[in-house]
Amino acid sequence: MMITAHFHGILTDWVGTPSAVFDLPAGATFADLMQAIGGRYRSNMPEQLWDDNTDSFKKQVRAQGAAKVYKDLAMPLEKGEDITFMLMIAGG
Amino acid sequence: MQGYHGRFLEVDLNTKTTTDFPLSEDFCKDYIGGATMAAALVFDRVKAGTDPLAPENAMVMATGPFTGTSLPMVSRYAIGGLSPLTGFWGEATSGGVFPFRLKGAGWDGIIITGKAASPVYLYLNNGQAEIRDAGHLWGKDSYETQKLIKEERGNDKAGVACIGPAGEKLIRYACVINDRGRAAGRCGFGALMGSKNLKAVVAAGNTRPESADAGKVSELAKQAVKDIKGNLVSVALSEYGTLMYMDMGMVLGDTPAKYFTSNVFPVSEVTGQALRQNYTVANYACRGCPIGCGRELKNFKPDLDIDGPEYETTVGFGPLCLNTDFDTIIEANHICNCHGIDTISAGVSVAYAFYLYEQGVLTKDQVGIELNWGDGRAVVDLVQKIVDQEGIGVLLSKGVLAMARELGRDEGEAAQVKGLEMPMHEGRAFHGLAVSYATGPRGACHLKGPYYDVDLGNMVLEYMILPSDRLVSAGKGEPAAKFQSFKDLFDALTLCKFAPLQVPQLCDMLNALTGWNFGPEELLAAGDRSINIKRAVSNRFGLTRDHDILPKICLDALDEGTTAGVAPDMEVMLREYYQYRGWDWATGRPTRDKLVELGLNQVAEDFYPQ
Repeated sequence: MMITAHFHGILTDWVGTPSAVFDLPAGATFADLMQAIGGRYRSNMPEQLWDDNTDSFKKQVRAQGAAKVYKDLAMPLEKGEDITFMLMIAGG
Repeated sequence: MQGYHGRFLEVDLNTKTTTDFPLSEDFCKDYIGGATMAAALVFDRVKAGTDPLAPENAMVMATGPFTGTSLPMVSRYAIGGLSPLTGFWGEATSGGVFPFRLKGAGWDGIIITGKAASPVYLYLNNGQAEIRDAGHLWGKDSYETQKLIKEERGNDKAGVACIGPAGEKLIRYACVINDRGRAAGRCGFGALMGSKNLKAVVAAGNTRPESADAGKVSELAKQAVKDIKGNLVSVALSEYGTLMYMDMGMVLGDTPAKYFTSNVFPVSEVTGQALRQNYTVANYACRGCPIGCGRELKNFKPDLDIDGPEYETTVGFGPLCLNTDFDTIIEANHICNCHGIDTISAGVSVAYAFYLYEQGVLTKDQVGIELNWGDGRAVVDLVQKIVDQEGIGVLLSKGVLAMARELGRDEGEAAQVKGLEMPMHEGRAFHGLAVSYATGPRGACHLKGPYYDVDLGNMVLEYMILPSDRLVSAGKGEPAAKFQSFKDLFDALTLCKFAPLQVPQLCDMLNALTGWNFGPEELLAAGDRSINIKRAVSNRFGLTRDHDILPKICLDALDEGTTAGVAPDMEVMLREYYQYRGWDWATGRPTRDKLVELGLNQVAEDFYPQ
């Protein structure tokens, strides 16, 4: 199934693209998407953005699906879903 | 005493004399340093009814126990006194090299009273103080002033904090500038310096107090640098400055637009990314900071390197005026820096002028130009009129509360709290921030209790300050009060608000420097004491609970964006806040019991004589 990931704000620079499409097997979970993103873009990212223990973005990155927030790596993905990744940090 | 010089310098400009004011260890333990110590000194010295611009108003410049040490992100200082803008307690802080030099000059701070007969500057160097003529500097802008003084002293490393022409003209939100374009921006201390004919404070030397455990301080410093560098926010700040937040602020409805009547704006043209793409950007770091969130723009114009705008300034002259022209935002910022005015108060005042123009209250005849939302050139023109004190600029230079009053408008239209203009974060987007704004010790202040940090996940476990639904009010009053106390301590210690350090680290650092035994409880109590001594100064000058409000224009629910239809419940949060603080709901003053509990016995005697 095709999943589209959008990277918001400065994540566009840090990941290296504003969006990307991933072809994942049916039944794939959020962890599979994270692994795919890491595999393709990890080398672009500042090391502080990625949690090597969980092989996913650090907790400050929010993954917003059409109707839910992906908080748990075990959550199943919806076919054809668009997920926007946003850096939930503030300041200034 | 360790960690402190144990003395302030008292400067009487009436007589051009200086004396030492010794600090006891108990006084340092109670008030730590920085803005908190300044408040205690002001409470002792400034009588009720004193005009903020009168010679009797004391201006305190203070460092803290962290300043000038090997700890990272601590080269900061605070200015405190009665605010020329608000008439209540005021404070402003700045970083750079100047604070490091100020501590190195041999005092923990300076208390300045009186008024010099002609312009002067104060020169401090390794325990020696001189009051020198500044007639040749009067009228010079802040950049030129710093350059000339360094040349005159033959010391390029000297720290200079000075006013520009705006301070000399007593503009109510004039600021104090150091290290090129760093500003102790808020509350109008540039006007206070101007009223004293004090053009600059210059600090040199490398006199450092002893630490109780220098080895431990060094160890803690190394760990802190590691923690800071490993923090994601630090990376974002380093790469994009505070503008890293612009995209997210708009998504969250936290970035105001169109004079607080909207939070929807095409933000992509004024982000940190846009700045990097369109200008030659270099980082500026305060001394000892591994982040470097400051921006310098190289060759903005031929042979002109200038300081880049940070988030607050960009929003004030940008989205708040619906302006997407970055050139004009940068230009307006530069005018403010040269003349020395607060970009937040200026930005809000300019945006209010656009709003009033749209309402038909201000006309082209009055303003001299048309004010159509989004016109960047008009933004620059208005800022220039403010600093030149020309035409409508005179009214705009008084701030939005005075503007509303003079124009006969509803005060709820003036985006301010206690006379201090609102910063560029929305209380409607983070309800904990709304109650922080309403009760902030200097008025609307995003630095004392930036609750967006909490609700985006930065909890303070020691004080049970935990993230929750940002658009819910109930239950926010107490954690907001605690967070306000905690963040207030940063300006006492002194520590940059961006330092991602934990409570136990701060206790360890303070203890290693001083030999004390502060734990999380003592630290929070010091923060509570700090908020209360500042409150007491303002109470003395007429502050009541009626002043703990948000203006209607910043409170009414918006009809678009991610906060549409939601407004903070101020009464609920204020009651919780007052309960935690031990403040009297009827008067807005700390109760006698609370004052005694915090050891503020002199305040208790003054407020509740027995």
